[in-house]
Amino acid sequence: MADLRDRLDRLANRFPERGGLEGLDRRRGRRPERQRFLTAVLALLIAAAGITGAYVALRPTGEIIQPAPIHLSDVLRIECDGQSARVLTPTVRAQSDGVHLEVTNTAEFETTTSISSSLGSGGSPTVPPGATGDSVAASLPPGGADVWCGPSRTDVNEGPPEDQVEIVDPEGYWHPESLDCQGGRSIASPDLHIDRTAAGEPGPPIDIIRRRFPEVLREDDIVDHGGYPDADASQYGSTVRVVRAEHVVGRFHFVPGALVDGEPTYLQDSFGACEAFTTENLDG
Amino acid sequence: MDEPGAAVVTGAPASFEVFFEAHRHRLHGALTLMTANAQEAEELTQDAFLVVWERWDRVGAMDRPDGYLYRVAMNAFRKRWRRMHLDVRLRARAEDERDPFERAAEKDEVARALALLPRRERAALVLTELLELDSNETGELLGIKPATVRVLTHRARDRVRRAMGDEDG
Repeated sequence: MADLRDRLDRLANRFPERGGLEGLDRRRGRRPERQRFLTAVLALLIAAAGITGAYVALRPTGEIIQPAPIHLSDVLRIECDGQSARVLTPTVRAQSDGVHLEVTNTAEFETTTSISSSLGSGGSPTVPPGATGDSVAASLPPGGADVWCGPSRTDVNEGPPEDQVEIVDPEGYWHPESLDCQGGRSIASPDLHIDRTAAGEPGPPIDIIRRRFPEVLREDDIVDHGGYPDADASQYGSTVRVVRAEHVVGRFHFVPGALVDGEPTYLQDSFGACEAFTTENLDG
Repeated sequence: MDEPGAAVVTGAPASFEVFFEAHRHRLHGALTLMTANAQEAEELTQDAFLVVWERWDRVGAMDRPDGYLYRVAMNAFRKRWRRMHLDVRLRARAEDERDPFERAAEKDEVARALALLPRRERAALVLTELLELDSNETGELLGIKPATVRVLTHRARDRVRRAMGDEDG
């Protein structure tokens, strides 16, 4: 049906792109404006909801107003149809090893799901067609997170978020990992791609930091693990943080290295520190 | 071209500019037929080119930057059309102003037949007939199996052929 190709070609040529590079540049400039506008609208909606909620709760009716129950789920369930993601459990309670995540793929092909917030990422589980992936514990911090999905091996999170989830942590499992420099300067390394077959330093990671900074650490500094206490360090590695006067001033991420004489070793693949802590010898 | 905006500011010829000129009408035309909506196609076209523009350092070095462009455009096409709210917005807008494709469909039986096709059939037909992609390439872009592409294309051709036959008498 060569005629059809010609007819389609002629028809398509009747719709030339009219914007040109100038139009493209204008659209590029409008994108941040649109994002700011949407953020402002969202903020107004949240504020309006807050004011309404406060009025309803505090109005002098004499009766006790019970807040609407929020259904907390222990598992973040996401359905991916191959085109977009749908969060089936909008509010999820974190567990001691992270946020339990289960993705069902209803598409006819393998998909990847991406969950991330400004403070962390939940990984990118890949699920075969028509299957529900194994439950995994993701290192997602409390707060809102955006969700996307799409065919595997594509950049699924390029467009606007397809759905959102709220992570809550009533038990306080999460230990913040973000530096809190109180307005002071900080330095941070990029994430390094570490050869995990190499031998690192003998652990555990908290002892590595104590050994490395004997003169910098103060007596009342707390050196502990960030993130979720029972997270699978063999998969995600572990973060050691230095907390000074309730502020995180140092953060060091370790991944397991090779066994040496049967003993585990650890490799550091990123760090960050406040100037107040020190900027000397941080990269060990 | 280190900075995407530089080409526009200086007006100097740049490889992205050449790439844009070479592909913008073709992509826009194809997307118009796939969406049956010229305004929607304009947005998708510009968004796809913006993604390429912002990554031109990397994309420009690829063997087939146009392949990347079409993948981005088709991903956006698929995602956008899955969203019910957008569908509602489009229908609401159509009451205010008629799209150029809609006007074309009044006079052109191929456009009219295309507009009546289900979305996936229309997309498969445009990619295989207009852009002359094979069923493997089309399947990859649409996220469906090559066998499904062949079924969709066959059905679409059949429907359009019948529509054209009806018109032609």
